[in-house]
Amino acid sequence: MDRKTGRGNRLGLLIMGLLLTLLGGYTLARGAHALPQTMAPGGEPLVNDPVRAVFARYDPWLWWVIAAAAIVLALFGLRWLLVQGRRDRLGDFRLESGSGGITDVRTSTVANAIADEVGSHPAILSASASMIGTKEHPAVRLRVVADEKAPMSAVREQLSGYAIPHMRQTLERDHVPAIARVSLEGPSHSRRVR
Amino acid sequence: MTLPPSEPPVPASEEDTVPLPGPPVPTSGERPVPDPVSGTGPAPETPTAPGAEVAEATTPPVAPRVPRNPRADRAAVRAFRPRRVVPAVITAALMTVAGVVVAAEVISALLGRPLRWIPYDRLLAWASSTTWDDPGVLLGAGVITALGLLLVLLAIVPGRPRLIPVRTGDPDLIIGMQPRSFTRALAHAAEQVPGIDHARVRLRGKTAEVTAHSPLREPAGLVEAVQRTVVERIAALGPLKDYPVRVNLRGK
Repeated sequence: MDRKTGRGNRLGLLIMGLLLTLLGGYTLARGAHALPQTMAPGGEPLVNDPVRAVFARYDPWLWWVIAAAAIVLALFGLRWLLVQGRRDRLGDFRLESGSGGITDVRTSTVANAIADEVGSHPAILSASASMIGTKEHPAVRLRVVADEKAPMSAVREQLSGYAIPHMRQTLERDHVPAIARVSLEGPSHSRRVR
Repeated sequence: MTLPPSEPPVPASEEDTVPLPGPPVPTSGERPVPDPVSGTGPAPETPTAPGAEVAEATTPPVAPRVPRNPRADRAAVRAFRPRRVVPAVITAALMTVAGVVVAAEVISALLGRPLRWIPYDRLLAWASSTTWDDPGVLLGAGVITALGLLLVLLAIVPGRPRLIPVRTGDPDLIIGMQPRSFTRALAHAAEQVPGIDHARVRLRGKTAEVTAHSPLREPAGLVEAVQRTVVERIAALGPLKDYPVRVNLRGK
């Protein structure tokens, strides 16, 4: 799942929330006789003669419009659902450097190399990586298990000092953002024996 | 050869050497760390019940070994913001179901073979006889409004980050640590303090709350020692936001 999903979720929730708020708010206001009674009387039935008149007048295509709107709603909902499982994992791609050279980049190889490099630090117990993003803007996602006694600067320096510069070189990019999730592991017998 | 005590003779002078069998005397948090040799014990103005907790909260010293970079900080915070997957899935599923049902009903009716999943004759009769100011309608509208506001809140409130962002000073390098790892590391650090045999750390809001258990009867200076150790460990782990440390010491 990528970061776009989070933004999309919030946008979708915002839109649906506003729609529901508007709908509920309108009904509350009309029911409380707070709207102009000539336009939207509160004492009338939900479906009154003017509503019937509209449907009768625009029959049948008002119903087609409603059906189309319902289909659009369902499609949006479906897409929104499907997007939740989206992975932004980057597949293998081809690099064409300026000198006419062509490199086929196997993203798993690059990812494994960076994971090995990060994991070579004694404070880092294990590391795994995968490439994400697009061919134009590749990025790397790491899971790192570090010794809880080591300062976080060990992880940071291992990444920014060695692994990321090497990856920039390999991928011929000025920026290769990295996002690392670190869990810390301590010795199981860290309790002081007294 | 014995030297006379350099300190003014205080009534509590026996406490320097002999652990009294009386109630434990916790130290006040606000006072500086007492000298372990000539420590004069508790301040008389902080009477505390035996076994009670001693609490204090201080801000860790700001030791930014990593240059502050607001852009990097923002990127890290944003990266670990909750994605609101659960409410999104529920909303999306309801949208899909509602859209499919309405479309199927309307189109089947338009084609002359109504499905009638929904008893819309009864629905129409109800809507034709129920007014806008009907209590049921108002109640339903209230529920819908509240739901709508809830969704809006979920959308705009940042929420508690899933991982604790670490300061990197580089917008291209985002590091987050598992909150459980973080608190466990702090607890282990507290347990390294002599006199502490068990500690637990919880994050309460923006405070790291340490509950440390000591078998000692007289935990003078322990609170400060635990505090110092935990503050140091936090600084080493370098979270984006400083966590003031609050120590609750439970003595015997």
